[in-house]
Amino acid sequence: MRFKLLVLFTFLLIGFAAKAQTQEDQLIKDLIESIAENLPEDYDLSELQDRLTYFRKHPINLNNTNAEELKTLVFLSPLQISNLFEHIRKNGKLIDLLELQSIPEFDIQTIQRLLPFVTLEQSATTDKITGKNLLMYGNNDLILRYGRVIEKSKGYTDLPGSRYLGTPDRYLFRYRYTYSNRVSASLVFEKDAGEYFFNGPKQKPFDFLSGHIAFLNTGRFKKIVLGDYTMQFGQALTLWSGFAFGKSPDITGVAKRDVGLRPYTSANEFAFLRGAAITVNIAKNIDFSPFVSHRKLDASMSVVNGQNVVSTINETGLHRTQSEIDNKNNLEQTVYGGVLQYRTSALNVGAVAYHTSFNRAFIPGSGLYRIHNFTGKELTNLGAHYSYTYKNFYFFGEFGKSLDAGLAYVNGALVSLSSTVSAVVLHRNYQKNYHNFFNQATAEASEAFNEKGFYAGLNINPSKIWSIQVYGDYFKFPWLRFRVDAPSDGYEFLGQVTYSPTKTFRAILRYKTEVKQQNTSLTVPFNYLDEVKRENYRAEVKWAAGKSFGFQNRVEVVQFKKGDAKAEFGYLAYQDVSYAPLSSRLSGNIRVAYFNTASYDSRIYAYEDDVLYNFTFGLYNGKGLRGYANLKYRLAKRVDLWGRYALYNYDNVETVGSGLDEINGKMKSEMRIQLRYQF
Amino acid sequence: MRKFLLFIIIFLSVNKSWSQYNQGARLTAMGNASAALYDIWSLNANPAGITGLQSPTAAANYARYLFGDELSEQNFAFVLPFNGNFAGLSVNRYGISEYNEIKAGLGLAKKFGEQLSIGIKVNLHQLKITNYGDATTFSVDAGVNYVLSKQIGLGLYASNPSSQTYKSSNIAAHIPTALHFGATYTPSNKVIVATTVSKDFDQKFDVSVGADYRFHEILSLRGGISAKPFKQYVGIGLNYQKLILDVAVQSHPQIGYTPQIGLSYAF
Repeated sequence: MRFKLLVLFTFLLIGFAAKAQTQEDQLIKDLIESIAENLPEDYDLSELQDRLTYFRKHPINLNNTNAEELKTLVFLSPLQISNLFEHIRKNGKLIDLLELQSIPEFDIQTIQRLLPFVTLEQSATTDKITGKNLLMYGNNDLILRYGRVIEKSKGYTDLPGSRYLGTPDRYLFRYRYTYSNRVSASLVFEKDAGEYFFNGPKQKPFDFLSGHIAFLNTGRFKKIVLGDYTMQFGQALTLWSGFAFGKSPDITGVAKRDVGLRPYTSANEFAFLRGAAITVNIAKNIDFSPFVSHRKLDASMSVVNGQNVVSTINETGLHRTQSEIDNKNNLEQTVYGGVLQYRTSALNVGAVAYHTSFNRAFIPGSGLYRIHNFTGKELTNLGAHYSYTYKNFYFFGEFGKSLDAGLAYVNGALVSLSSTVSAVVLHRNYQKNYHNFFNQATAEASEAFNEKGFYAGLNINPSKIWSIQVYGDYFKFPWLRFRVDAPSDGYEFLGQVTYSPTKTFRAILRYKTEVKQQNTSLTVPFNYLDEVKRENYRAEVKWAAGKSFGFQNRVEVVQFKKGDAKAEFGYLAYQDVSYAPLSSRLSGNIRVAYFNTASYDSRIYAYEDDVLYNFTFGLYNGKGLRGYANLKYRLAKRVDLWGRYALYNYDNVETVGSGLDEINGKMKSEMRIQLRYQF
Repeated sequence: MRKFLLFIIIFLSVNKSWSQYNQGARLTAMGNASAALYDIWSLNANPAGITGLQSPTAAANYARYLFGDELSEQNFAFVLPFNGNFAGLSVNRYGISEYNEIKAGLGLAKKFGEQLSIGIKVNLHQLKITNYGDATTFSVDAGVNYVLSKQIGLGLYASNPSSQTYKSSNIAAHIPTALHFGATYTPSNKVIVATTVSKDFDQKFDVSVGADYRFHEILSLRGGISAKPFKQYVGIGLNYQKLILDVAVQSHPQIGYTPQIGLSYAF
């Protein structure tokens, strides 16, 4: 009955109000889905979405750009970028975007993805920094967002012990200013659910505040950033803050696209540096980027010999309970250093050196597996990275060394075997005592240390219609890990076939398997390791009906097996419908999903549409229905309004969630509204 | 103790991962995704694959299992083309001095037009274990290759379809019965991508993928993976006039690295 109602509701929505996802959103969504396969559910990709949305509005001039800028379009492989510059060097400036088809490695899909973000026209706007220009030609982008879980969870009741001290409301305020490619500024406030809104303990006035001012392309000074920023260099082994893609169906993702210094505009409370940084051109082809950062981190402390010492850094940015608030900002981190880069169109070499210090010492964590972790207050990191294009080969790699501790290196190659086949190989070896607080290198584990591995992938596009991706990765963990009481190893394999006979139809089949080892679940005097196997089968079709309707269906099955236990299964099936008439102010989309997973081990993740700049990977766990509806309405030329309503309706449960997030009943629903004003 | 470990490895290999004889350094480097490939060592895989040879060819291959001091495999092959027919001989030995497996085979393949070729091979198996005994048996392999288009080739072969076993009552070693189906994609004359799906009647499906990239007139780079167990392969090939030198390394999660080298000469 309830299901029928839901279906009815669904159709009403379609016919009545729903939906519009503009094409650009769709493109960005596809992109994020294909490259962000292995990200945890709370990963904040708004920065990427922000970049792409920005370039959509201010396309890159292909005749007047550089590798760093093109790398920010994460879907271009380094080899493609290099080939583009080689083409321009040989044949002169591009005259028509159609010319892209004649550049090696530029397949139809890449060109289709690229076109919305590039142009060949020199933008007419002046870019001199004067007060008048800043006012006249600057772009202002203001976002206000409010959201909350509608049901009251246990944490908000009058519990005697730990409870959420603030309100369940979530707020985001984001203001962004850009002027040509010369000036950028931002201001972000955020309050998470459960946090104090205004002037709570340790906050003035908001829980999270971030901002920056940046001047770009001023003579020798390519970038000057004051405030919050990220640094992304080389293969993410030595210095990389913010997100980095790794293994994904986009097999070239393991070759990192380093974009250097960038202002930080995201609401993630952990992944940034705070202070000042510049990139200055000191000689032909040589850039120097010195930086300094001082910021506070959340950390849980313990007392050893009467001294406060750090046991772990908390990255969640949540300050809801008394203990979370106690942990807030109680560690100070100072980082300073510099990056030297030598860059020509084929060769790229860089050296990184920086020093990280804390006001309190780290102690070895409890548990043998953490025995090699960082201790003390001071750490110096050195690194060197390179990339080199030779004909159809792109070689890349990085070496990182933490002084008085371990070494790590990663090397790889991207080869275009023919116009339809490309291959990637990557070898990595990260020592168990490689210490680094800004390390996002390609790895199986969430952090790149204590791991060796070899990755190989193939990308085959035999025709416009077919596309095949395959990769395999073997990894070894020489030291113990969390819940793994012995050295272990494992492997991962992915195969994907895409069939797109027309512009409006696409089918994807995907198989993925991963085998690792983990402590047995049995109670034994000494833990031995059991093999843990996870297999995913996915089938997806996407098609359009008419000019306004888009449909997507997916079925996914997960098999999870640990040791000799019986295999368990998880299932997910969903239907997406989007409605985006060309001339209408209103657009929207909905999803209805059914999921049934035996336990958390066989959970399934799937990308979900959301309001602009909010990024959701839905977690499908348990048994029930999931639905959501997004609406976008253009109130005025420069004002957009989004609304979202999403709910979980679980079968046969008395409560939803656990701990302080526990909700009585079988429903969990969430709403969000967002206003964007561009002026 | 070391001998004992060696025995374990030998049996692990024989009974599980090592369900076929070595397919030479080139096919091995391509993950043994050999069902639709043409090579002299197709003799040890899909016998129809020897129809790709242009002239009489002899080849020798040597693989060393780094796990043990003396565990190795030697292979020899010879193929003679005549009037669209191809006759081949291969001799393979695997083991240590106390444990020896020998497989010798005689293959015959024929081309039916430009697209279709069919091959069949009869093998003699001999197993010798010092102070224990020995056994002998025979088996048959048969296969088909089909050129679907300029770019796509298909191959299918069965090893030991009649499920022959050693007749001796005190030896349990078995000769695997398996079906292999493969395809190749050749987008240019420099690149071959190959895949093979194998079903051993006693094992799970195995899938392998491999690529051969002739990036220079005389040099080829190769790589491959296979799924069960998860193995990775890399290799290089050197083609100098009539002489071909191939090197491959296979990485197995338990057995570790197995390097091999092969040499062939086309008369």
